[in-house]
Amino acid sequence: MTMKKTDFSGIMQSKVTWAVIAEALILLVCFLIRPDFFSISYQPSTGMLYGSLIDIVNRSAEITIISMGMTLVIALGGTDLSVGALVAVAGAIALKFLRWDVLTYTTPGDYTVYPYILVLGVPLIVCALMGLFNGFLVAKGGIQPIIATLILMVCGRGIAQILTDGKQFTTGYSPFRIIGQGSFLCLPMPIIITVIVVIAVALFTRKTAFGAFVESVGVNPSASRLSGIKAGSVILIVFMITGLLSGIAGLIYSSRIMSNDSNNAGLNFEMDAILAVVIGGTNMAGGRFSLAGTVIGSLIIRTIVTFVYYFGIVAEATMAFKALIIAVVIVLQSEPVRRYFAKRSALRQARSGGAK
Amino acid sequence: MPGKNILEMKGITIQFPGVKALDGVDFSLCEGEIHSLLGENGAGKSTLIKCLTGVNRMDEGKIILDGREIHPTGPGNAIELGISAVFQEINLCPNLSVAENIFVGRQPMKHGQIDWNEINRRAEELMSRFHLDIDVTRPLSYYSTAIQQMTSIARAVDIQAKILILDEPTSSLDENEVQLLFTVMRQLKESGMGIIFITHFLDQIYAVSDRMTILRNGHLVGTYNINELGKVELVTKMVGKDMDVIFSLKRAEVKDGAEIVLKAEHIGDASKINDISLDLRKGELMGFAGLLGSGRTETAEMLFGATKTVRGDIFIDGEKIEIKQPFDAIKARLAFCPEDRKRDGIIGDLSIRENIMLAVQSRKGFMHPMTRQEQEELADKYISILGIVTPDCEKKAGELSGGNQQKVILARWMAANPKVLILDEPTRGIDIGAKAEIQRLMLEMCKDGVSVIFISSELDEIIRCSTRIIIMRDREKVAEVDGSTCTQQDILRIIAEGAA
Amino acid sequence: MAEKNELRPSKISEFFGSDTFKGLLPFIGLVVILGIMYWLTEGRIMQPKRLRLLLSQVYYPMIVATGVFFVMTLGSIDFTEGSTLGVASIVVSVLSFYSIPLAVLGGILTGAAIGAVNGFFHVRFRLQSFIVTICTMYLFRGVCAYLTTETAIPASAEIKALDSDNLKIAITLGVLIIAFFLFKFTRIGNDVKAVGSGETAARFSGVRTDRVKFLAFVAAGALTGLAAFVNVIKVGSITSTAGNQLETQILISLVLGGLPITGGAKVRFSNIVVGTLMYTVLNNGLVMLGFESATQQLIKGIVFLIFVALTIDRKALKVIK
Repeated sequence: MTMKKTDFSGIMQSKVTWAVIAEALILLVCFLIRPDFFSISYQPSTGMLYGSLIDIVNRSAEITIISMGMTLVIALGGTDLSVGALVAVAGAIALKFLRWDVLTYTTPGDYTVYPYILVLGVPLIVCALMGLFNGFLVAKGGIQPIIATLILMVCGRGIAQILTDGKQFTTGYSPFRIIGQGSFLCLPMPIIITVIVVIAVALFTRKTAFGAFVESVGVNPSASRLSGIKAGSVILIVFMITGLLSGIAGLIYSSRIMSNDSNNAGLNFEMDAILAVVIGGTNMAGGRFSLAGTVIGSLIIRTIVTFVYYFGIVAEATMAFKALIIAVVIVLQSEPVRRYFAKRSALRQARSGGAK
Repeated sequence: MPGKNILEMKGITIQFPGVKALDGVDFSLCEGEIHSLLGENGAGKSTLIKCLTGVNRMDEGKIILDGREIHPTGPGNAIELGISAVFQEINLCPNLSVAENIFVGRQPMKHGQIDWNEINRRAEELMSRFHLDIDVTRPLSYYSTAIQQMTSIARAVDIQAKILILDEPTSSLDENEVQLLFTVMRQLKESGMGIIFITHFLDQIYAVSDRMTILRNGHLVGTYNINELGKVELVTKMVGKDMDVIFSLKRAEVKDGAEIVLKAEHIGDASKINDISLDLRKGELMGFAGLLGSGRTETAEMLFGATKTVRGDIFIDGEKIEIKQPFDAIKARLAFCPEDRKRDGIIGDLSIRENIMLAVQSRKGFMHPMTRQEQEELADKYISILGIVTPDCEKKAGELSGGNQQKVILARWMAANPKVLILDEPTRGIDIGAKAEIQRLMLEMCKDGVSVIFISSELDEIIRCSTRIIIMRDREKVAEVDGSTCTQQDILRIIAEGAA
Repeated sequence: MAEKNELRPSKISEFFGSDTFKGLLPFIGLVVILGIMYWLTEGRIMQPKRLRLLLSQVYYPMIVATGVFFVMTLGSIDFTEGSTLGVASIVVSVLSFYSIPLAVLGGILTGAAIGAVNGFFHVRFRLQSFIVTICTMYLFRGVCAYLTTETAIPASAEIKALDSDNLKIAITLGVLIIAFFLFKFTRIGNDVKAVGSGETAARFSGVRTDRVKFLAFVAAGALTGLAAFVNVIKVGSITSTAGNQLETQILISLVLGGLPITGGAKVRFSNIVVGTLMYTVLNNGLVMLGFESATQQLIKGIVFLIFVALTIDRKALKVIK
């Protein structure tokens, strides 16, 4: 009996638990407002499942994917502010390669001048290289991550605009549409991609020793180096992964709108991704990270947005409400609050022990 | 002669979750007295001090200062009450100047402004009382640990505290600096200040204190006058059992014709070291003696690739190898326990298991991970071999005591199965039981054919264990002596005079 | 005694590696950028009319930067300046119909209140300032967007009539002088620097770290509120984009000015002035040279990169509180 209680207080002190509770609560409120919230229906015409839950997961795809990389960056004790700009860059490059000969066809349709492999490959490679550039500034230049990535945050969108001559292209190329709007196994494609990315990152970090190296460098870079870890390479790889994942998110984003938008694509994604990671229980100071927690964090952020829509709050105030709820979650997870709960449960335990 | 009691602590009890850190401890301090507080790590010395400075709240007990009961609420409040502490591991602000550090939080004002001239003048005056003629406007980080230590003492002195607490002030000082500190302590004592002195160095206790109080596992063992208790009795009282392990240690012996494992020829780094040569035989324990800053650590760091070697060659088993980074050294089966355990050794937020497997894993590269089970086996093996006190291998390494942390780092390297193990001050700041333990382990490894380089500021340790001793001075190797025939005086003379 | 034995590099290279030189770099940078812009625009940038325009863009960022300077000296970061400016500008505009002094006070109090929220959560719940201020940034951006949904919020004619360079210069100089005095000659500056250099050490030296941190955030908010007043005078009506990206601009300005992101003792008060001026000169010059906004961003990024590479204090992966 007592054993169980100690276990319980341990769980209550974990940040991930709070994140799960928060998500459950928000979903519960959604359910109370709209009893059909959890219903999922099958639409034979598109062969897809529909429902609010599916929609939440689908819409959270970009942030979830980016925040997989962000989790690693934060575990290293850094931050990557450039991810939002990289989303715009990926979209710009993809749409540039999806141009067609306007003399032959006058409306957007199923045609492209460059092979599809370039449409997908080049944005990803460029984003990975940009991530590598960030990593290089941090690892070899000794520049703090927040400043190093600020550089691409500032000029990334400029690069995207220069690449597309400041124009907004559209496309109707159907293989490209599949990425953001298609489906597989009755599920929207972004969900499938997200699942693949999450599993890939999880395998890469937890089935190899890479995750342990990241945590070790995040806690104590100097001691890690002296234990033989090549901290520089770890940093390079982590930033490159984050760049690559931002590229994937950028492709999904631009496939959803079948267009590029250098000004608004990925706007504030860096902030959302950082919040997702922190809500998920990874400390900004570096060290232990939890990919599962991050996924939940990202879902929380998206659920809140859905929730706010359901509440019928004007669109302009969405942001404020989102911030408010996130703030509550983060405060509940903060060390003083958790310590307070731990103390209370310990007290209760002591009291019941004394009564016996 | 000590005067009246200025401080009385009665029946202090502090409860931490799960343990009683202090259980009804009494302590008193007289005016003009140096009172040593002794005990192994975890005995409750720091907790008692933290209670006095208001960092920890006590659950029971009374603190009476000058006949009045006080309830310190925090370090700031304690300072106002006249209790000033120089802590072991809490540094000053390294980027501020020496003078700023002395006066931070209570700058003298003139016409509503900070009076910089006054600050610098008074800081200079204070430092010169300690016979330190330094530029007080330079940032603190510019100076050695010793001077940094003096700065925090100067701070306490200037506050005109009634009680000065020195928590392990000497652990990073060399012999001369320790003497300097003692002079200052005696001066302060003459002026009527009561000093609480915590140290692991037994000689220092006898050199400077009037009384001593011994704690063990949160309980008071007793308070004694300095001439009441001999060293052996003291240690026995501290540890709670007879301590003859340390006196039964056998020096590492090298067989004739043992091959040379590590050889360095005329190595030098970019700034400090010019030209060092040495050779290390299989199973040999080589001591590095010398003052702080004599180049002992720098040489070790070069051998391990922690700093770049720009001149000279390093050979392992007769083969020339290039060591550009620690990873290369680990590949060549070198191992290095650094001096600053907290900064360079332990990875506090990770578990003991992860800390131990780190070096093995990094040699393998991250693409060849060890399974969880392998890691656990490895960790459990070394936890039991080294006697690391922990419930299981998942405990955070940062939560262990200093001695146990040191053992975890040692385990990390033993697990990597090294040919050459370099230990930089492995026994600093850990209690006497753990010290003996680590020396014993070192010597056992030598017996198993590992070659050890042992750096220490404590000459008796070096002389007790080393086969050969290299003496360094002003970043040069000045002598190489045989461990079995030399004495402390010999070494001290060489260090002082610079020649064999 | 110790340093005599060190193998010292030559005097010249020593100078270039020294803190003195690093402290001078931002000034050199400002002169170089000014020089390049002067040359490229064939002197037009120095025409009185242009110079006035340039200065008119300096005032409110400089006031805001002064507040943020204290926060960043702590080693913390503040992302709320833009949204604070937006909300405070709305308050100033609305109140300006009643009384001008009330409007000024309202702006400052609004800013201070937002700063107090930041400081409270940062200190009381031990949350990193980074996270707290991202949340409050979203929150007050949302508030700002909500209030300006229908139309832009106009300010009274009286407050617009105040638009004169003299007033703005007076306010900016006043803020700088007071802040300089506080930073240099009172405990406040030292306490802030001490917390930035080592929080634990500062606390153990008797600095009330929590109070210092809280007050720094309040000060940053209050000054942003004051800047909102200057902003309203200039623009006359508030739209939802008021203060957009201001936080990034301030961060870049201060880093360009040589402020180490880790805070601590190496901060210099001149960072504020030099950094803000450098940013504005660069911005204006690029506009005058007729670059498109995308190219401007790219060039700004490159200039920033060069400066950071030259001036940054290398402490790899140090965490922001």
